Amino acid sequence: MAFTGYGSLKVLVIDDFDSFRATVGRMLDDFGCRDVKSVTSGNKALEACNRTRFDLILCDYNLGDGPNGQQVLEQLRANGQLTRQSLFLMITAESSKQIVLSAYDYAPDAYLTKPITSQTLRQRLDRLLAQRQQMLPFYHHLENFNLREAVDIAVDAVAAGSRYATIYQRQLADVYLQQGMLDEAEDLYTRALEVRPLDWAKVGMSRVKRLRGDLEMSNQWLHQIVESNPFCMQAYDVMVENYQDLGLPEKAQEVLQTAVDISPMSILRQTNLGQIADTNNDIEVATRAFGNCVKLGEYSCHDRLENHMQFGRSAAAWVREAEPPPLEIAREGLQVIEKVPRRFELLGESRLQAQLLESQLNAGLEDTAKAWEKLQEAEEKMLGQSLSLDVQLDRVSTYLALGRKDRANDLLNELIEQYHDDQDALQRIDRWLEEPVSERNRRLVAKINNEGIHHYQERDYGKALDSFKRARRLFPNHLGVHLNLAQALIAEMKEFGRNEEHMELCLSSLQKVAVAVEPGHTQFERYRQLQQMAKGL
Amino acid sequence: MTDTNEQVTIAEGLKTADFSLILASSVHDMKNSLGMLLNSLDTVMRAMPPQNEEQEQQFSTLHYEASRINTELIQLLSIYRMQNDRLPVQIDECYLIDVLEEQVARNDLLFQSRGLDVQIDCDEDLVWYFDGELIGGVVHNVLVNAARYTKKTIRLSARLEDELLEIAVADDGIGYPDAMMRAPEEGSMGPVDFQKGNTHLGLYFAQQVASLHRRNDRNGQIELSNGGDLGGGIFKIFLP
Repeated sequence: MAFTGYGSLKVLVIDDFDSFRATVGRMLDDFGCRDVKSVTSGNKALEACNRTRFDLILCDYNLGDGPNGQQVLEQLRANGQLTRQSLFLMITAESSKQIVLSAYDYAPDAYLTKPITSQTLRQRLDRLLAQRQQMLPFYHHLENFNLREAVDIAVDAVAAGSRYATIYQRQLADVYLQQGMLDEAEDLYTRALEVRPLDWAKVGMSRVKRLRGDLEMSNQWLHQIVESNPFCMQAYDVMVENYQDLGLPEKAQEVLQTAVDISPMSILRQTNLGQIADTNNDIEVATRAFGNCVKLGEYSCHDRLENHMQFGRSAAAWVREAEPPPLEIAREGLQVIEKVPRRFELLGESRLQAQLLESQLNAGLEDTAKAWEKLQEAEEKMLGQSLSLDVQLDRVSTYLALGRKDRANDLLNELIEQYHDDQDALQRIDRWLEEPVSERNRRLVAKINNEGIHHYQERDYGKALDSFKRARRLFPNHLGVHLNLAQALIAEMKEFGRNEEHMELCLSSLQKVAVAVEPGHTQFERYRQLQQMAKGL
Repeated sequence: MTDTNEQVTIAEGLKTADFSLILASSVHDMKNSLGMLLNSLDTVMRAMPPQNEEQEQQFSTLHYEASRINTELIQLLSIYRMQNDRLPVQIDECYLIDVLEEQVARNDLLFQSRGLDVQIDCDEDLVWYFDGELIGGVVHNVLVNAARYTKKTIRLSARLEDELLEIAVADDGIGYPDAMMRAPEEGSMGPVDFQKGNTHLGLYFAQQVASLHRRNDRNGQIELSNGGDLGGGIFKIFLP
């Protein structure tokens, strides 16, 4: 199956080792390649690809400073500089490369393990290029959105038992899924699964079930896959979407966390984890995830201003809430936010937000003067402007970080007034309130509270604590939730004995109430009783 | 050029005083170094082809021993991962001719330097379902071993019978010693003989990889025998 078209290929070799580039260059020359360019770094590779469209790219994974091989690939794919007709081969020193690398967001067409011999390279290239050549018409139609023609070619190839029948089958099923032709897709996956229960067909089946709205069945398929192959990243991704649609964001976070633990280098997955953890008000997880996004973003085309801001924002929230505050995180957050204006072009409100975050983080680090200075700078610019809810909420956080609860409350009341008929906005404001104002969150806190009270009455304290802890995480300022949690903890300790961890949690919840209520408040009497009971333990 | 993604670090191992972790970590480093060494060796051999038979012999020994260390290290790492559940089998559809040709190509220089005739007997269209990388590793290891013990010829073959794939590597050497042929059936590492440098790691690895391939009630397995057309040792791996 020797390939004969080497003479007309445009080839790019990327490696920071001179000897390796020379060796591969010689090999390619022997194969008949006439147009070979080689570069020493990821950045130079990206420049070269801006000028030339290569048919074949051989790229080392480790490239010293700058983007690594995977990041080069991601950027080329994201920019649309790699068509389906071109080949990208990743060269690694690692033999079990799939485990380490395939877990990224984009996979190369093939991996080559060092040491590479002329024979190995020739054999792999012959095989891949012959396949590419044979499938060229199909890919050509696909790129030009001539789906009917592409489908015809694929169907014929599968029927004729082409050597590439399986590849055509997978591509065909993808086209069907994209076009919403679920019956055709399901039929294809079913036939593939009859031959062998392979992961790609199972993932495909789970997608069909998902698109049909059968999320439970979709998840059944997915759980089965990850049980036998915990490295099937696609399966986690579909599962996360399913749990989100099922209204189970905590489950979605759990699955994403597993996926990120297996494959920590995927910036897109880390971003998703940060966002979901943020919705779940899981500040620590969100901070860590956004922190990873910032690190991974250094040379990635998926680096986003929003990730940097979110890192600063959640770091500041963590510092505000935790006792003792994690100062190291505050310092990291401040460093990132201070660098933001150099790294990104700040447009519109983002400049204000960066200043507000700087103020919060300085307050967290007890540099109050600097914190006030930054807040004033921001507020001067705000004068006469109509501000988005995002900026306003950052302002609320800044007042709280500076210990100005009065100002925070005034602003929150203004916002509730302003957004009184916008449930989505109210839902976001709820996080800062003692009692939620949005309908959804009112129902949610009532539901979780009722669950907890039910378990409490059944004396199932473990489950009661789970409910109240969840409610506390979602509504950190809700006084009733804090009192319920304290009461359940006290009852649990009365029955099973004093426990330092529980005692600490109990006292921290009571402390939250103490700063909010004064004698005469409806909750004051209950607070006082619980306080005494806790002391008596 | 160390791989920054490798999760095993020496520091991690020292913290937990877990010897196998330390071992896995240094194996990983050694493997990277050896990869570089093998690469330079290939370059040297191309730049300065052997002038006489003696030099040819020396190059061949160098290449063989370096390949052997590389293979053993890869196996050690794989076994470490297997035991820590970090080596899931990734079953996919594979063309046998591709898998076999790739391993022959990988060892081309070794075969050439020893003047060996390597034959492949396999239907171009034969397809089966297995972890191509793991099985490729097993075939590679057996080939390197066969290159050391055969006289003139190695024959690689693959065929399908009764929903069971058989890959065989046969040679015309003196065959496997009796003690070795008993080992894999017991499913253990077999008799370890450090003095003769014979730890049977390769066989243990092959056995483990085979048994990771399961289908319905059938397990993959390996088999050693002597004789056949070539009269030497025959290694077979069966995959359901």
